[in-house]
Amino acid sequence: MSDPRHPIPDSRVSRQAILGVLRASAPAAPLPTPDMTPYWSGPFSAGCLGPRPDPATLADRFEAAARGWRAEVLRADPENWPDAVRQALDARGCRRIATGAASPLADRLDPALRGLAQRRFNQPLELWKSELFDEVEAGITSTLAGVADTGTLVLRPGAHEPRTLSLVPPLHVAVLMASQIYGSLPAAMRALAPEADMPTNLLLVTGPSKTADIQQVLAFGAHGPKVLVIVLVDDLVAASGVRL
Amino acid sequence: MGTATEAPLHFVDPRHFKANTRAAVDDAHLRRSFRSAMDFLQAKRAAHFEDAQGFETLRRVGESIRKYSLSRLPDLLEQLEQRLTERGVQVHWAATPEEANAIFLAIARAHHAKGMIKGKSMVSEEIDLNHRMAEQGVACLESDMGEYIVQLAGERPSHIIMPAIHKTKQQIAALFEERIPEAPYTEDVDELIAIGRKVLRNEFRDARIGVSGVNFMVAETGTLVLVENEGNGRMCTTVPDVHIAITGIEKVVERLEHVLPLFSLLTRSATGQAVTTYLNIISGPRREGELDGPRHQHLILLDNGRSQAYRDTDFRPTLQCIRCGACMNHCPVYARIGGLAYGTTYPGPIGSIISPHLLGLEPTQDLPTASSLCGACSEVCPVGIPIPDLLMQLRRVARHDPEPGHAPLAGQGSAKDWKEALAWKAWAWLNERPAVYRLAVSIGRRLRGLTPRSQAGWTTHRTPMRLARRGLRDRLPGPR
Repeated sequence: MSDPRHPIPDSRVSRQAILGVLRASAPAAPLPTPDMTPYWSGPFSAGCLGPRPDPATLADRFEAAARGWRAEVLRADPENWPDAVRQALDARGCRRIATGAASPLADRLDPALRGLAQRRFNQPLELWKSELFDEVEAGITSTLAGVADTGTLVLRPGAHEPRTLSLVPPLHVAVLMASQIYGSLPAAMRALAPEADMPTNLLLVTGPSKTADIQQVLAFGAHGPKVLVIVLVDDLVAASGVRL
Repeated sequence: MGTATEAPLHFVDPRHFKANTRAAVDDAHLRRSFRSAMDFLQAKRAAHFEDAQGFETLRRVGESIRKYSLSRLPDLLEQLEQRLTERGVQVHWAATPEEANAIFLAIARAHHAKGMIKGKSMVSEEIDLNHRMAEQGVACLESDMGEYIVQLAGERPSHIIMPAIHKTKQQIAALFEERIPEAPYTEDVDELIAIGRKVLRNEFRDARIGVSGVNFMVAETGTLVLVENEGNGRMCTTVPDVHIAITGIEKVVERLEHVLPLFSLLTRSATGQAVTTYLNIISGPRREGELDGPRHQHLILLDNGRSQAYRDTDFRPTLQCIRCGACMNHCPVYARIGGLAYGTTYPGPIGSIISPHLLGLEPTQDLPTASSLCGACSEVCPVGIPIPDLLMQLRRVARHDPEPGHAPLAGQGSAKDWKEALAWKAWAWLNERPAVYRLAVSIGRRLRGLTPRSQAGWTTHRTPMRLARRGLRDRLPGPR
């Protein structure tokens, strides 16, 4: 808790002064609302306007783009995807795994994790910070959506799957349903419309953490996960009747 | 590594800009590293905007969003404050760097924190947060790899996106070996990054306060948006119990959808990436039932001269900037002298047009003159800021009193030269009096042999000026 003996300076005077100058100089009528149509119909917004592109081609495009950003992509079907997750963990010898306490994946995933040290994220971070930072080798999360253009994952962390699950462990395994892939970022954001009910944190992830701060040499695993594995589940039969 | 780059350019004063540029231009090592870095960044950006028409379309949308947001700036700031407050974020307003630092210090004291872990924030550089907090016994640690390197070396960032662009991997290897306990000497970049990762991970875990900048704020939803590749921004805004964000008042847009084209423009213009690894969209502190995220969240809105740029419609476009750094990457002056020579938080063309508002024109009067007005900066600017026009206006304002209808800028007229002013007065007086003018010119012509061979700055690179034997008027046919 913050200590009441150390009050934070009252900034109302500065607020009035700053807003006063801005109000005195702002135009009487604001400019017209920006026209977003050229952006939505332009080359950076595939699938934003008009009918949604064929989900099967979106999955292929997503995979290629995600690989381009150094993510590993494992294709799986609705029956065997938990095995693909296990395979990704075993391939790296990861034994200490964290999952969301109320993850939508739990029912199917938990049996596949048998024999591993699975830690459910069911208490506040500060109660097990050292364990998460120093011991857990992989975090597994679901994914709200994918973006084909850039191989981007849209995550909506929350109590069910906290934010640090996809941030602190060196390996992040994300499970993405092919039916949730959109053509471009604006297409995904228009469809998901998160502004109606903004979560504490909404997150776009493209590949593992990286930096080029030393002589422009690209290095992976700067501060976030060193490796990102995306298990891409072909649920299109179930979702739409279209065969992938 | 006692090379010339390390010696003279730390914490320089923008008043010494001309001397700094000479030192920088003479430093072959510095010029090589900047040339190769600029070539790299230019090529990466160009690969994403091969379709000139596509870029133009996107840029026009970005420009219209920034212009629209600025036209509603006071409304959007109040709306933002209200939404954030509803979400449990404490919003503070700081007119000056001193006020911002006082707020930081008070928050640190209230939480009994001896340190803060920092994500990348140029606005925190602007208020010199690290040094002001150190004076009060609060240690700020930079966690962006480039910023961490620069802080270890006791320097300032030389580029707003790639802070350690002036350092070679050999210099960084030596720095790590010297300053980080148990770090071996290695020039392997992966190993160097792994060393930094290990040190900073413990700091993320243990810090009570995390500090970050903000790339965009959304008024309608009460949202802070952070763009990054490393994940340190996510760490600083998620793991510590307290998150303090600081940014300039100009960074607000109305709607979430307005962020997307600006994000596209920012990452492509800055580092030639279609997307960054993370786009971190934060709307408030940890909510009931959530298991991580900061319990306390603060936003400090800094003015520091921005309202002066806003006040005058001539200078308002300065505030359209989204801090991508493309203007410096393409500037022939920046490429030759590097970022440290400017002695300001923001170097390059954007620095030359924003610094006079942040610091006043007195110390910064030379910066707007460091341009050939080639226009490369405005050609690549993703939000259409007419940088050369603004440089010209600042040059004028530095040398003249305010024109009617314009309030003076801080330090206006500080580059005024009484000899020059007197010469122009005399010239005007002569030209209004044809008889005296003809007499003066005819005397001048007779005495042209006495013209001095050295004429102040003019003859450094040019032949001396002297009156012609026959004037233009004498050579033209027609009435005299």
